[in-house]
Amino acid sequence: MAALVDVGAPIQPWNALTAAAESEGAGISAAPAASMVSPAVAALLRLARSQADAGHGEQAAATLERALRIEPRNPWLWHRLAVLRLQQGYWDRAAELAKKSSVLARDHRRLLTGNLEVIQAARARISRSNVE
Amino acid sequence: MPRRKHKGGGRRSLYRRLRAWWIRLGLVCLVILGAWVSWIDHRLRVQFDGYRWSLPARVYARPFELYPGRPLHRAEIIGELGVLGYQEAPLIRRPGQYQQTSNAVRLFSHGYRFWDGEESSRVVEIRLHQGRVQAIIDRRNGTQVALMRLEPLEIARIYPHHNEDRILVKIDDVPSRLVQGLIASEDKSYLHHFGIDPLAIGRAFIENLRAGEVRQGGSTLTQQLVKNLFLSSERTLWRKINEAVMAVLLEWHYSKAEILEAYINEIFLGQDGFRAIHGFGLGARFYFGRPLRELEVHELALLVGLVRGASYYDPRRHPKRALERRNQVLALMINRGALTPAVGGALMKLPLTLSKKNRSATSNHPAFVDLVRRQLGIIYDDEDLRNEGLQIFTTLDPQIQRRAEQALRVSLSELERQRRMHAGHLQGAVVAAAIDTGEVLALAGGRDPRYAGFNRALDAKRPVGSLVKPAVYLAALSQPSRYNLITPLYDNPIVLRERNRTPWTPQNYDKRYRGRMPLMRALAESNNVATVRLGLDLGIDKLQRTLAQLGVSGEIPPYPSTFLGAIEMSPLEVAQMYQTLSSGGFYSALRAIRDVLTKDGQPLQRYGLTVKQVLPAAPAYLINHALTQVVRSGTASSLGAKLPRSMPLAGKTGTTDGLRDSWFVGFGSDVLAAVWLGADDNRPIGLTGASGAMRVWYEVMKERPPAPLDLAVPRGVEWQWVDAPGMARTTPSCPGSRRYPFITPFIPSRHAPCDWRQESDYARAPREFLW
Repeated sequence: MAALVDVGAPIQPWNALTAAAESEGAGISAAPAASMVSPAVAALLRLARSQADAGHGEQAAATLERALRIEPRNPWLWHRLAVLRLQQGYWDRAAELAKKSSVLARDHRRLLTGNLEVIQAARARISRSNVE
Repeated sequence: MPRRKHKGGGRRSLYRRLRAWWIRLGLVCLVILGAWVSWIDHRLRVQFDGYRWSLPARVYARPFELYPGRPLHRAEIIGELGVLGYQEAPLIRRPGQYQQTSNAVRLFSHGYRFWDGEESSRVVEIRLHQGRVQAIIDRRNGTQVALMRLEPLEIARIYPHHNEDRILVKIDDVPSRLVQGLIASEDKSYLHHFGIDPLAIGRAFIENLRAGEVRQGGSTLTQQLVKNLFLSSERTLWRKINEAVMAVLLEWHYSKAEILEAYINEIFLGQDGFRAIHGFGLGARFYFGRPLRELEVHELALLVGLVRGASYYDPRRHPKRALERRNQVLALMINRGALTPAVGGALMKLPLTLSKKNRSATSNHPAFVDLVRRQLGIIYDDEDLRNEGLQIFTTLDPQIQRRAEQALRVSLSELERQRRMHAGHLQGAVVAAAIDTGEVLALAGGRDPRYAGFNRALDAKRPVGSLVKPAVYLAALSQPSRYNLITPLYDNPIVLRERNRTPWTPQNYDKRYRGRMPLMRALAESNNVATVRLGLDLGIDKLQRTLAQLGVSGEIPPYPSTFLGAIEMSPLEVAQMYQTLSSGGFYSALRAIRDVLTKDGQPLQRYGLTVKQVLPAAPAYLINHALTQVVRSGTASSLGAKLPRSMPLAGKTGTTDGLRDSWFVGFGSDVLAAVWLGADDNRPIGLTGASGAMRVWYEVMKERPPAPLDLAVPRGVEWQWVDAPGMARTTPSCPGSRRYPFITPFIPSRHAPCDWRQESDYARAPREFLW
């Protein structure tokens, strides 16, 4: 996952992240085990992904926010929203959402790493846009 | 002969000259007429093409979400269905009906188009078990539903200046029975005439002559539309001519369907207070509480009957008249062959099926809608809000709102009675918000929830008293090398001398001094003297900075009295400050709006969720833990006593000088609410935060308390058993030892044996402070 830290590399697209998430033990955005989220939140995560895949980023964000209203302290949801905002180019928002996810994640290593990478990528973009 | 001839020739030339004049005059008239008609034609087309119905903005509450696992009492879902206009029925046949069984509620939902997509209409069974939704079953295919939402409750409209209200419908969505009824009743040859119907005019003329008064108009639907859209209602020949010409022109340029669609949306169907009900779309809602497409034939016939005189046939005021008129329309439909006599006859026997009339106020929750308008006003101008038919989806939770309004109404009267105040002396405000998203769930601006005047939740700026203390302690805990929750603070007399000011001796509420106490205890007991000493140690600049971080935007006075809350804030600002605190240091601007759609349901604007970490997580965690002690054993312990031990909540009371303001803010892990009580003229009310505002808070929250505060221990925080007075580590088995969270690595390093207890060396704190 060093690619994300390298600012020159493209940001991982949503589907790559979630694909990684669904293949066991992979990637920064590894999804919570199915047992960890309620069916309602799982359904919203699927919906958000299909909306994002179809290029409807804001709708996907609305869907994730709907999930967050159901489980406001679920760090995975905050992480997903952070990744989405990063893809949309909202660097500041993405970094702050990732921080929120990390505070809630307690000792969840993979999630913490994932959030750190979002924050670093966002900061790199911000500093690069400042230079330009 | 020549003379004759001459004479005759003269007559002929006069005749010729006259004829020439006549022709010229005729030509001039024709030109004028032509110019007039083409001018009318031009104006008509411009107006009709560009005609935009002014539509009020509609403001909606949050939709009610249903999913397995959701905490839900039967009363809550039934209450929600009730306000949405669902009707209980023995058998569910159409959207908007529900049915109860011993362990479930079955309902047929209306579909709805939200910002993020369509919610389809369905028939579901919601199984309830032990205060939760156990499962949601789709009754059509037996599958489990992961989640669904009901359509949102409309809470307010922002009207055009002329107060016309309507819901637009497209001709393709209009039930064919409505069109048949309209034609049968109003204009039998509508499909064939060219705008005017000379036969109908003739019939009307004869009928009027016979009656000796104007009884029939003979106007076609087209003429009625032209009159309503473009002409005044005066009864002159000139207006009649104008109307006829325009009707013919309208038919020339536009199809029958276009004209009918305009008619169906324009026609006046009733008056509701100041609000004028226009069009069948709104008529269906207003009289039957359902969308037009769901109405049955006899209901459509009733609406058609209203065209002739909406107030004369008003079915709520004159049900008998309305029923007769409805049956006349049904009879006309039978005559036209639109209904068989058997069906029509059966329909005539049906009673009126009106819905209960909704409150006609512009807004059911004016204080909340006031906040919505202020937040919208940043982006939209007043005219757009009033005319463009925007759909505004807000964050309001009607159930919490209802409880907040009720709590203020009931508790304030009760307090006045108990304390022998004269009625109406007390006022109050409540703001409830979702902690992690910053959504405003409820907002009450006074005792009278329908009063749209002074909004105390937003505009009453009052001293916050001890509500400011968590910010003082937070500023201290942000220096973990100097302060932790067991750092001793000193509660003994102190005099503050400022240049050009009289010396000030801060005192505790009970005028007693308690000596040395751990920092957490000082906050839990809201100790004034210890707080002032702590603040002076820190410096006012630290408090100013911390308050700014928490989202307090006003000026913060640079005086020691600020440490005790001599700083004015509105209840909304207080809620904002505590949102930042309770979310662990993540500021989210309190929002009342989720998204805005155009009248056609196209997404226009979203107010997305944003957070900003303004405080490190560790000190925020320590403060929230300390605030749970306020409820467990501090100034709010009478609230804690009413709650189950397993349900930790956090809170802070606030009381100002002379008992003028009574404040309480309390929160769990999901919801916070801030309550203020006081008098508009700022006279004392004789209530502390605990005896006033906290009681209201409990009334708001008791039915559906916030989720227990389960604080996520952030990294960098460690719990440790300590002997607080001795500032040393111990083991759980030692008597008197307690667990406290500490910020690493600043944990007491010294270990103490159980029997060890340092003699309390009463460190002499300075007695005077030069500010």
